[in-house]
Amino acid sequence: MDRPTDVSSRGPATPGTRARTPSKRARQLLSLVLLLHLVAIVVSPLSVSPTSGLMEGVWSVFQPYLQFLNLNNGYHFFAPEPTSSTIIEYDAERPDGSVVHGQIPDRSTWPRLLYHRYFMLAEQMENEPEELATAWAESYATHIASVQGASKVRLTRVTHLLATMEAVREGTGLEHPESYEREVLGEFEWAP
Amino acid sequence: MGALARAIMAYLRRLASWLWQSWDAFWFTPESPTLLGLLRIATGGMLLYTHAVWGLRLKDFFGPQSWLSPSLVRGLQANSYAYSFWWVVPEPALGVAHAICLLIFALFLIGFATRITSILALAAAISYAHRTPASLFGLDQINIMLALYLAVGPSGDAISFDAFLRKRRGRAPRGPSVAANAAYRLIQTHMCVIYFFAGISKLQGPSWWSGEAMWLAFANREYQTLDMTWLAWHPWLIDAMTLTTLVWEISFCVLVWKPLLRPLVLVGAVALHAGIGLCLGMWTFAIIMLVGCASFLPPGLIDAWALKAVAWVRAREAPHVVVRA
Repeated sequence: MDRPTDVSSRGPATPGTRARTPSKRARQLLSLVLLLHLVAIVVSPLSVSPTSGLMEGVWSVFQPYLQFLNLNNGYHFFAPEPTSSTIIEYDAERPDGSVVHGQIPDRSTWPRLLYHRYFMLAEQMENEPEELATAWAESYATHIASVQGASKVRLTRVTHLLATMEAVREGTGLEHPESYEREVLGEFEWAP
Repeated sequence: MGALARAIMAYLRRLASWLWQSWDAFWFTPESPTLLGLLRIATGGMLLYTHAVWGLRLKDFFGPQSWLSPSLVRGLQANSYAYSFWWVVPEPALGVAHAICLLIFALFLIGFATRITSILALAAAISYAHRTPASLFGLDQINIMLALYLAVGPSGDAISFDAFLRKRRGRAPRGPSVAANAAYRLIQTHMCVIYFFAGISKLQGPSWWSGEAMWLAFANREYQTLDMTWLAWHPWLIDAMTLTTLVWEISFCVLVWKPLLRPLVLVGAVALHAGIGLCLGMWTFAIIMLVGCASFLPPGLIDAWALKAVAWVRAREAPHVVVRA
């Protein structure tokens, strides 16, 4: 019988124990389930834009399964290519007139995993669906207001452009002031 | 014409038979659960740590006035099948719900009532992910993928509290099983899918072709934990790293199945992910990817190591014999 190439690495059965193998009918049924699962996990990255109408159609069949198990992932790590990063700056004004300035992500955040959570919160604003843009900014502003006890929050999206190798060789650092581009996302105010 | 048709039919029958036999051997050959036990400990440890960190800012991410408000997340997940138990947890009970989940992850880690705790751990991990979708990254995807397959397979059959209890009750240890093999195969094939799509999706980016993609990753100040800007004076090194990453990711799904090449491919995985951990500070992601890669270790070898470890411990526990003159 032809076997996959790595079967030789399998270990011997533990002495005194006997492995049970399902019947052929059971193996055929299980094979169908496995095949459907494999198609699902391949369709998920194949349906990431840009994609074909065919893949969109197949994805819609597997959508409930993929979303229910949180397997609906594209695995596009650093793809199509690494790009500039996003920082969200905020100015939270309290009723007494004092202003708290902050940003996410903040490099002083510890542990590093928590820093990455904030990093993703800022990055995802770059990919927000257009119809949810205002609701998204308002959600962040409401959270900041509740934490800071503020009645007014101003949000700014900062795009940190990447320095080229040439620029670094010429002495430009990664944090050169000109590498930051600012865009005000909005001012949110709540009645005291 | 009739002879040609018969030849084609004979070929198709042979092909179908070969495909079924290969598939059958791949998925349904019983396998030792020892490595699965190790993968459970590693995944359980990462699940416990990942979710313990959420606890440092629980209200900020899961409360009613969290960064991603409940209404925003519901908007993002409109017409979606994403579920989360967090939607029914009132604010005063956030801490209790979180503590229960940490307990579940800890029980899964030690392999206690693993059949149940593995499913609960999976459901809990998915619930956290679906409640705060915009603060997730690759770590969460791999955590859940591994939790799923460890719930499918008998991950509590070895190196677990369940196995310990079974032994104390005088029952025979659980040996090789088809379910253990299926769990390994599911993790392995999923890792191949991940690396393949991580690789080919990069082919859409010009910088992966021009060779400067790795520089763009190193030059990202928000990612950076190790200053690699000295590489600006060695662009050929950047080119080589970019090309190596691309070739390694795309070829993983082919080369890792060859026993002779597998050690090299896995050493490549350690180098790539150690680099991600060291330079970009993403140690959790790096470690969980390596846990997934560990599914390619030969279970027979792990069994042999486990037996040696047990023998070593027993030898140390044996009473010392003092010879008197």
